[in-house]
Amino acid sequence: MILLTAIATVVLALIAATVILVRKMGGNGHSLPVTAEWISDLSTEQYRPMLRLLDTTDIQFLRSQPGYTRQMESQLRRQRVQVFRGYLRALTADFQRVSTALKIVMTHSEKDRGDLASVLMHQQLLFICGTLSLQCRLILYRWGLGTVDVTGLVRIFDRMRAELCTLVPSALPSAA
Amino acid sequence: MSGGALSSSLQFLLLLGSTLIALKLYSTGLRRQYQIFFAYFVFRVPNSLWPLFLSVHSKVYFYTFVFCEPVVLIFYILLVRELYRLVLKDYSGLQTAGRYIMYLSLAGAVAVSILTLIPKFTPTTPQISQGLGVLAATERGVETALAVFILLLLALLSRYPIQLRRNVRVQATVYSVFFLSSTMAVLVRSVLGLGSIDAVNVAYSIVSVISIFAWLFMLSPAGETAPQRRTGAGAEHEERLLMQLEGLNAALLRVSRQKVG
Repeated sequence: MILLTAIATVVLALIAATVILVRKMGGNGHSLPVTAEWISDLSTEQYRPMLRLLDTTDIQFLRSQPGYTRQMESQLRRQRVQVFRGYLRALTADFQRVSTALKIVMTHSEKDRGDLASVLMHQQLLFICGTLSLQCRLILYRWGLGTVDVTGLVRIFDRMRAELCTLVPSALPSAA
Repeated sequence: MSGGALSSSLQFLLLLGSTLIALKLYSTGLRRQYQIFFAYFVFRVPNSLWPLFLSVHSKVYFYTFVFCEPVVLIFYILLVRELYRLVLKDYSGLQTAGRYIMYLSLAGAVAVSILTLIPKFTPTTPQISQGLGVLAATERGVETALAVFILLLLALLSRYPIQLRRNVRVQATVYSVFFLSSTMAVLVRSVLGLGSIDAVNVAYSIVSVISIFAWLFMLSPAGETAPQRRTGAGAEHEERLLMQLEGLNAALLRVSRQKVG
């Protein structure tokens, strides 16, 4: 009886999930998630502090100060991790908006955009792996083990921004 | 109403519903959009008729059943393939992305289906023959895979800003209910054995009748209207934005070719 109840529950959950997904795909269109102004403002500058937020130099400096205690270091690590996670959330949100914008380009295209599909999947996979790795390293950092390097993730944005400015320089001022 | 009378009434409703759907698809011209779906219901009419004239204990019944069941399963696979084609029909730009999504969904569906076939049920009640057991397991495996495939396909495609035609939404929902109820019926029969077969068949027939009448009443030529692609931005603004995103795309292409340090 327990097995049958479990089967029925799974089947009903799958049906409910299908209905929710179908309803989601029946909406009256989608608003563009980004604006021209947003693309113009796309900058990795706001993520620069991330690069040195978890730098061990600060911890070493703290250790060299008179009156240093392990509680102070622990508190500093905790605070830095909190701030870092905030930046990471913003970075992820920006990345998702760029991805969604690219998906809109694909859905509006009259011909198959296999090139864009491959790049998008590759970049998304890279980003997911990067953020997962960061989350693991953050846990270790919180407990005083290892360091966190976000250069790779931020560099993707940096290059995108630089390339974008060289590719569409005229569109940017008019969009603002 | 006795069990036998209820079962006969449901069989009659299934036959009636199948005939009406085939006629509706033909008269409204929807058969051109849903060729496999139309062919399936044309096949369903004689496939619902023969059990009414043969004794369930006869050899002819057994061999006809064993022949027809794989045909039904092949139809199911083709129906889901048709659904996949219809989902992406309005989106030429998503053909490759859709193919990647199809591969992922297929891999997930086959994995889930294999996992559901691993448990061996050993009920105390009598079981169906070994040959029919293999057929039932195949049926369960294929139908589970198809239901999971539809679910995964929708889950992955819902991450794209696409809008489905109403008829396609109806198809996706009813197929899921239809395949999952069938999977559940086969599973329950496997768990409870022959003692439960009548009750399970009646319950499954009720769900099938509901599914068939949902198709009959909800599929319509009006449901074929292509979705409006409202973007919430002016055409000029959107054009400029899309131009910028094309640039972003080119940038991404360059980034992907470089080693990320």
